[in-house]
Amino acid sequence: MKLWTLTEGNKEFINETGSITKFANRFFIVGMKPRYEFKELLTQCYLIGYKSLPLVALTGFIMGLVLTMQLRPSLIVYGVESQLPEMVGISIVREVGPVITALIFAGKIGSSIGAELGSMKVTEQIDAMEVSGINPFKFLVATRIISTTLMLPILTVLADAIALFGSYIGVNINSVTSFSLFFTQVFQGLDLNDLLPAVIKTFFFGFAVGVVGCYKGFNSNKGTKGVGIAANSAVVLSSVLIFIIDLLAVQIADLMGLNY
Amino acid sequence: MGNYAENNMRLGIFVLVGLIVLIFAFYMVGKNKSIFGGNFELKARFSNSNGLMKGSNVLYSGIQAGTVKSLKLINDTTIEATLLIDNEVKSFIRKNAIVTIGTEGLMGNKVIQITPFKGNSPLVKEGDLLESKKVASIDEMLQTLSRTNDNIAGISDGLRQTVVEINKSTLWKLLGDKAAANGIESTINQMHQASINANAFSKDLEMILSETKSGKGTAGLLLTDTAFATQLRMALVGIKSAGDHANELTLQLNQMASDLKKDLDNSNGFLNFLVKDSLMIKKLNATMDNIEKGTDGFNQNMEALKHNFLFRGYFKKLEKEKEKRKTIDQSLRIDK
Amino acid sequence: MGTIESTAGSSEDKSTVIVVEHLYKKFGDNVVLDDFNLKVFTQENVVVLGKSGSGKSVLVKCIVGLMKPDSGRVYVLGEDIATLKEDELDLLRTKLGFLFQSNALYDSMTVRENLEFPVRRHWEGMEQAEIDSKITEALENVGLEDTIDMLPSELSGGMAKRIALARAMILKPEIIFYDEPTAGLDPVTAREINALILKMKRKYHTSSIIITHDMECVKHTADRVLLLLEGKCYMEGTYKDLEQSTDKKIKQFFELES
Repeated sequence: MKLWTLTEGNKEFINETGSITKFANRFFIVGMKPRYEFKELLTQCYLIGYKSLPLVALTGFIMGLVLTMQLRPSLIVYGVESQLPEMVGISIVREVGPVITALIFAGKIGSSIGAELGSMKVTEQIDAMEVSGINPFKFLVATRIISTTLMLPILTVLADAIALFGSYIGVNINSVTSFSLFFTQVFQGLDLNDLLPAVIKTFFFGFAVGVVGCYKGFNSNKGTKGVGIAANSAVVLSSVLIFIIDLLAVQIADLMGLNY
Repeated sequence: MGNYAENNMRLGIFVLVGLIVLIFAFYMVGKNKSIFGGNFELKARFSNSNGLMKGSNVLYSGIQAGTVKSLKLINDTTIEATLLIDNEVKSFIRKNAIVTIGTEGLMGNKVIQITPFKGNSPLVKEGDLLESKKVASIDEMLQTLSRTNDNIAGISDGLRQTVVEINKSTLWKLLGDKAAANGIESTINQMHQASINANAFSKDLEMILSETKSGKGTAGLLLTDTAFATQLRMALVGIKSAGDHANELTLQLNQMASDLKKDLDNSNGFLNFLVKDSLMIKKLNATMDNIEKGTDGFNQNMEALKHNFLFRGYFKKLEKEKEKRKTIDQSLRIDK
Repeated sequence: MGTIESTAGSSEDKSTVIVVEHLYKKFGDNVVLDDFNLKVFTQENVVVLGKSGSGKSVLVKCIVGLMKPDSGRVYVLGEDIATLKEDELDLLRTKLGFLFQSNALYDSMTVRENLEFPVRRHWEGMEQAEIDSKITEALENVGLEDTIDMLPSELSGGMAKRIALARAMILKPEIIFYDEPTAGLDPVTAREINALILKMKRKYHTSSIIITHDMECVKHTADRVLLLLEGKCYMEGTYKDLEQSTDKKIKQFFELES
């Protein structure tokens, strides 16, 4: 029974893991049933997806540019500078694009959901919704989780495209290449096996950000401090989860033979 | 409510653009792999697939034409590749087209190249078996290279012997003979040219060797590159022709030497003319030096070749054979 | 709406709307409710009086199902709260109104949207004109028609409380819960709120539970008073009964006032 002589922190960690799993499960059981909050869903999609685009676009652009400029010297050493677009394309589409975008997304959306729901909880707005016969889980949580799950893949795809554009400019700083040649080379290096797992995993990233943000906000403690903690821990936990999902994704892709 | 509708419009544009980019990406990726669009199958057989894989690209005259659908072992020496070719290029591939396995770029993937062959022939049909050509492998090429070097070594030996013979011959006696002197002058000029050529060839060879050596350093993959292989092959052809040239020269020189001998034996005229020509003597000396340098260069190259890891095996084999021959000779002598 | 039941709670033939039996709830080692019993009849204003932290809020939250009691039963309009499914509970709650201590107005929405929000969800497909008339009616009831396009952050405490009341009333609930309706308000505003509570009761014939520690509020609004002390119903009666009581524990509530 020594296994169970855990420290307080460990207990809390395990407890929270269970709670979040329950929370996610509740999303599938309660959130998926009618009635569907389409209007709120669209509003959230707008706020979560569209409003995040400028930030994600900026980071994507810089990411592509910097990655290209950093990779160039190494490729010159091996005399394969011409492979720069392929290399950048693969790294952006497979890994850098999804993960960086998800992290930025977790920072922006995870914290805002955590803070918003947290302050709604603290000011009894969630209770108010509940007693007026509106299921706050459906109205607040399900819509946000669905929005993050659907919007992050789109954001990632756009960020990838913008990152590749940044990369194109990065290539053109030191040498000259045409736009069409660059993109032909990028897609030369890409495979369905690169694209598909990368797109699929972003749905899970988005889901994780939504679930964690909502869970933290929904269960925040009383007081303004509780709201701050909710926002902060939502970002931290969802960032960690993104990496864990990424790890799982690469292993699953490996098992399915998509990583050769 | 107006604001709400406007936001919805923006969201719609955002989602649509995202989806279009995604679909575009899938289309681009799919286009490379011939997922979309019509295609047909062709077959080709090879004795060695050289690392060709399912999904490798198929090029027709260097243009992306399809992918490898499958690879199948027919028997212990035959591999059949099924090629999925875009319908677009169907009307260009003729039945006599030749299929080879090549490399994409410097260290890239293996590709199948379909090259049109001269002459008229009907167009291919679904499932046709195209003729494949074996591209000389790098091992074979390197063996040819060492054989050529061997030849060059023999030639330079011959050259040296001739020079020694010339040195030994009573040249000074010769100097009185005007006809002989003319002959010698032209011969010496030719030899001069030959030695320059030989020098240049030895440099070429040296360059090739250093390239091969560095190939070991950066990437052994360099050796599997077809572009490099053709370059190597061309260099080898050059060396070979140089060797032939040198061979001819030695023959000529030998002839000259025997002629001179004859001249010396038969007559003793016009020697004074040559003796007075100091310029001629200088030229002669310089030529001799050049020849010596040339042969030195060959020897050095031979040494370098011997030390090169690629040829080590070959030279060891050569030495073994020499030793064998020696022992056979000895045994023969003993028998006598 | 001419007839007004002036002496609610006295007649026996009235049916109950809320029955609370043997309610027990504790947080850690702190027992908040200990075998608490309560009955509320139709069109009756019941005031639950108690010191802050005595578990009044917990009681109402247990009644509307925001909290789960450790044991005991709660029947609202004849339905057992604990056995209801999430959807059924939502349906039941449309017949309840709740005025929160912190008002709990949705601060991302304007006053109009705050009021429209529950209406749109319970009468789907309702004409916009009809919704507008309902909103106007609700705002007229609290006398704040001109705040319709304001955000909750722009409202004063008293205004926010009245808007919150308007929102709680907009679905014409059968039972309405007031959680500290006069807390944090100046005496004049508090008096206005008390008047509003009575007005709502008269106009819509609601039953209500009012939670407060404000004796002024009790005096004006209560048909019946329950004193919640140490998790138990310490005393039950009218305001007059309370006033005339010689019990020290009851007296202290009046002393605080003066």
